[in-house]
Amino acid sequence: MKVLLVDDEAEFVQTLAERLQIRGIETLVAIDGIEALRLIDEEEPPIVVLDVMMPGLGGLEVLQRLKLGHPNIQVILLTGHGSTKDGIEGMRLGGFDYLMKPVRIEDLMKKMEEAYEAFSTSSITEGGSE
Amino acid sequence: MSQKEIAFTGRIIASLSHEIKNVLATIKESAGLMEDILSLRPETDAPHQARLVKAAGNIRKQVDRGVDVVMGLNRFAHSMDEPMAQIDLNELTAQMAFLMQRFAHKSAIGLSAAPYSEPLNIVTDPFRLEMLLAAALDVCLTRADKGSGLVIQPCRVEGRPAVWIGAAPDEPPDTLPPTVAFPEDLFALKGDLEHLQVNIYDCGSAGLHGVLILFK
Repeated sequence: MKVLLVDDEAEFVQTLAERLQIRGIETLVAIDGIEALRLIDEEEPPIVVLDVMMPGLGGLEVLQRLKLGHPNIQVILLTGHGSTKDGIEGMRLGGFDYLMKPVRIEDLMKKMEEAYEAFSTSSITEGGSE
Repeated sequence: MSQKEIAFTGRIIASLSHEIKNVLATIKESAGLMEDILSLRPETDAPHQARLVKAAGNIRKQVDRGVDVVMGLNRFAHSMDEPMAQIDLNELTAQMAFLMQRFAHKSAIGLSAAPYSEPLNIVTDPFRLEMLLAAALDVCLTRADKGSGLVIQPCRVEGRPAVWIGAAPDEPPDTLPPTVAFPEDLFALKGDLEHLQVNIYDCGSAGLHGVLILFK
């Protein structure tokens, strides 16, 4: 499983990537929206874990843009606020699900497995309909 | 404070609490990484492994506690966003129990929130309602016996939404007791009642240990 982690908090996202690597997951890291979109085009990871609150190109905008070119990629949003408003809006825009930050690694792993299953199913469906 | 001042205060607190949460998230992942690395190595390879694992676990636990506090602060800040907003009294009373927990603890009184069986949505001034509920809780904490329990819970009284702050085991009344009075120790808040469209009733004279905030 290959996962792109996107968060402007570089130390946070790099540490999280290291923890996922220990658990056998291939990780890519981007610390802004532009870099994230470039990596998505180049690497086409099945799963993106995306912070909603980023300066410049925000998480919801990244989500909208990536869904245009890569509708099968499953996006898990990390919301930083006490409210769930951003997460719900993200799901309306095609996000797979959202988690509140900071997140328990076990919860994130579980959500990524579910997202990967959804990615595999959508890829098979798309392949079958061609 | 004017609405403009309230909104500014809320905006700054929300922004700073968001930053604190980012800091806590990084500390949490770093402690988690330490635990991960230590668990990968055989006991003999890492001196003091057990102590280090314990210390990393303590950091993680304290970060979780800090996150709860900061999320409460963030929710409180967002209550200042708008002068009028739709809120669920179940969420607001849970938030009030959280915000006032330390004051209750200092008074040696257990404070908890008990949700109503369904959402109780009202349109109100969230910040000023929080102030009113905090003042009512203060009064009830002063009256309560040390070691006792206090419950804040939304309810319906005569079909209208209400918040009951009472000493267990007393339950909120179904109907407004005829003898209830305005609690004199909340007199200073009388000016806010019209703005919030509520009445406050001291149910002590009706044999109940509690204060009822009834929405008009």
